[in-house]
Amino acid sequence: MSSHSLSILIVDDTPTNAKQLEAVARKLGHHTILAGNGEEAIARFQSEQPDLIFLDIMMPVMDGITAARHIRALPSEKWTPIVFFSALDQMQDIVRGLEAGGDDYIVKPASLHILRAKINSYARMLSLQREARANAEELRNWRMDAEEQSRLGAHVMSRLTDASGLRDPMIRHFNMPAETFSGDLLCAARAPGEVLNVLLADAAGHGLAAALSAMPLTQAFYSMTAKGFPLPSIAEELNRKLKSILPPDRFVAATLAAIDVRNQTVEVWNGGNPDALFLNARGEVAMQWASNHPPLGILPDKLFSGMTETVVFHEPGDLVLCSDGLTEAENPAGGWFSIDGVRDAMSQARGSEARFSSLLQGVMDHLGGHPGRDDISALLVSVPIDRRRQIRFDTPTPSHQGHLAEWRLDLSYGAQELRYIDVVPAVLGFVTQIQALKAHQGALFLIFSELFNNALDHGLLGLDSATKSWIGGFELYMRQRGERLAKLRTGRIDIAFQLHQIDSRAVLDISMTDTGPGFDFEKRLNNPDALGAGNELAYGRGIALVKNLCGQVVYSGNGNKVWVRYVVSDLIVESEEAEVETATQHSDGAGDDTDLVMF
Amino acid sequence: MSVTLNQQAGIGTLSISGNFTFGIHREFRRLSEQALDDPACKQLDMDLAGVQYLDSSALGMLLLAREKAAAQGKQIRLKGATGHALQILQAVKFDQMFELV
Repeated sequence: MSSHSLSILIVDDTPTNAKQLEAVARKLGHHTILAGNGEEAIARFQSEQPDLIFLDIMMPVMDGITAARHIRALPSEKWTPIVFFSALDQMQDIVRGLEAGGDDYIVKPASLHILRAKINSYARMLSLQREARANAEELRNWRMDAEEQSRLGAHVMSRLTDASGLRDPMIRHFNMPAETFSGDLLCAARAPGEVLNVLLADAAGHGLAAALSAMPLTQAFYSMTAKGFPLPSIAEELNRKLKSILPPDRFVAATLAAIDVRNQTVEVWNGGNPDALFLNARGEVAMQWASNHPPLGILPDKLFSGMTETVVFHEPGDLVLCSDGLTEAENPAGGWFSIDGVRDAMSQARGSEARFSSLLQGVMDHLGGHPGRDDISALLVSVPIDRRRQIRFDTPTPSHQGHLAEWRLDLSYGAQELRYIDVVPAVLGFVTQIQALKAHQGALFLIFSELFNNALDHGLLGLDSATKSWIGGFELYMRQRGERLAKLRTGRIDIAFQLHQIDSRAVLDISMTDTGPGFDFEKRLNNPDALGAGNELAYGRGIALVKNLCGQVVYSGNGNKVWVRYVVSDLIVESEEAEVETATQHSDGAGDDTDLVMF
Repeated sequence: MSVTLNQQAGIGTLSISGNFTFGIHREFRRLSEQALDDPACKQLDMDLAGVQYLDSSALGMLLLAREKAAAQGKQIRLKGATGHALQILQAVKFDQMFELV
């Protein structure tokens, strides 16, 4: 027992009685306050806030019973025991005292041993009470602290994960946390070439720890998507990042998908999440991507595989990603919603909006009003068939500078580098550092990636783009590409960029030369059917797109050299009122200094 | 749910039954460390035949045990998983990291 000293209020009109008690209390190390009647007792109780009261009953002015009632009626935060100490020894006196709010009753005269034992006993009880109050207080402070941290955490987390990319009209999503924080993370962003990248990550566990584990993914996902890195490279980087940050028993299941409407492909990497589904217009599962990899953050770099599965779609539909919180959502009988439940909830609804609401409604009905045991999230991408030939970018802003600094960049990649470097994002990373080119990142990505992929795929790897037009050809093409690239030992691609001024325009010339055998460009490109509606879908579309963006596209050599000119902006030298035109409208520039094939 | 350890002829067998979730992590950790720290135990089998459900924290516990085993040059095998437990282990490709028997 703590030797905490009590302050004891002794109320008695007989000084001898009061002195006796006072002597016992002081000997035990307690402090005493004296009062001669009930009224004084109330006043001293209020001013001194004693820990314990000894109260006589028969006193002048106000008796002890009345005083006890008054004291008990006063607002108080703590319990102050009242011990009646009276010569009245009848049963009804004792009951009356206890009913008035007394905790104990000692009949006078009492032995010193009894008084000492009583005081000691109350000292123990009061010390327990003090401890409990201190604990409750501490707990309250902890809780307030935790709530404050939670509030701050939730705010920061929501800012960090609030991606304007999720507000893309193609996307619908929900994320219902099991606690304040969700360990499920949804991200979406457009790559420079209009490809839509999405990520649904589910960190092991839930709550703040899980939310923290998923956090490092956002930055890498957004920055690599913005730079146009391919999905496998993004998966590898996300894994590397988590592996270096998380302890061995923490990991993050994730599904990454790239939706390329122009090429009509959906590319998926699924590590540990439920199957990703592609539902066609009739509500049938047209494609399904099961988990093919361990979750992120488990395997070391050299064992990790970022290999994706790419599928060509021929009809519009909805791509659906979810966390296992959705498939394992339990109904009151313990049954799981399951991947079939996900499919069934959506298959009857027509249109993405209706499907999305049906899915949400379906899981809510299944849960039957109970909260989920785990974080529940889903992301739906409506995937259209879009046969636009024209890609429009925002109108370039005119440059107000009178003179443009000229700039030139020459690069040469050998087989060794081509095997493992993501050339397109690496090069565009440089190029778009140039202030004048920043606004053109999207168009330049498309142009450069088409030219580079042609040089690599057709020039060095000898792939035939006609393969893509067969059924299952795209998958075959991608497989061949991977195999041949891994074996590439010779060959080189030279790239040159030159930003300069022609008349009043700022232009960027890009040329690319590969060491491959080239192709019969005169025959192929002069053939009026080559870019006709039928063939354009399968191949030639890339070149048509480049032509659409550049105006001037010139092949030379064996067809292994290509040169394009992209109009960056009109330089406004004198007239501030000059019309601003979009890059795609400058398709008039036929008169270049070569006699080669030109669009 | 319960966790028990049996050791015989240099092979420790940690049998888990019921729901393999965070609720058993103390016992799981204590017994797996006991087995792995024992020089007589050359291999640790996780008997999952009695597991009805396992969640991500169970996967985390297995990964942690695997790391500890690897540091001591020992092997961990996952035995007898069926139904949901097996599906989960396959979905996260634990068959690439553990020997599944």
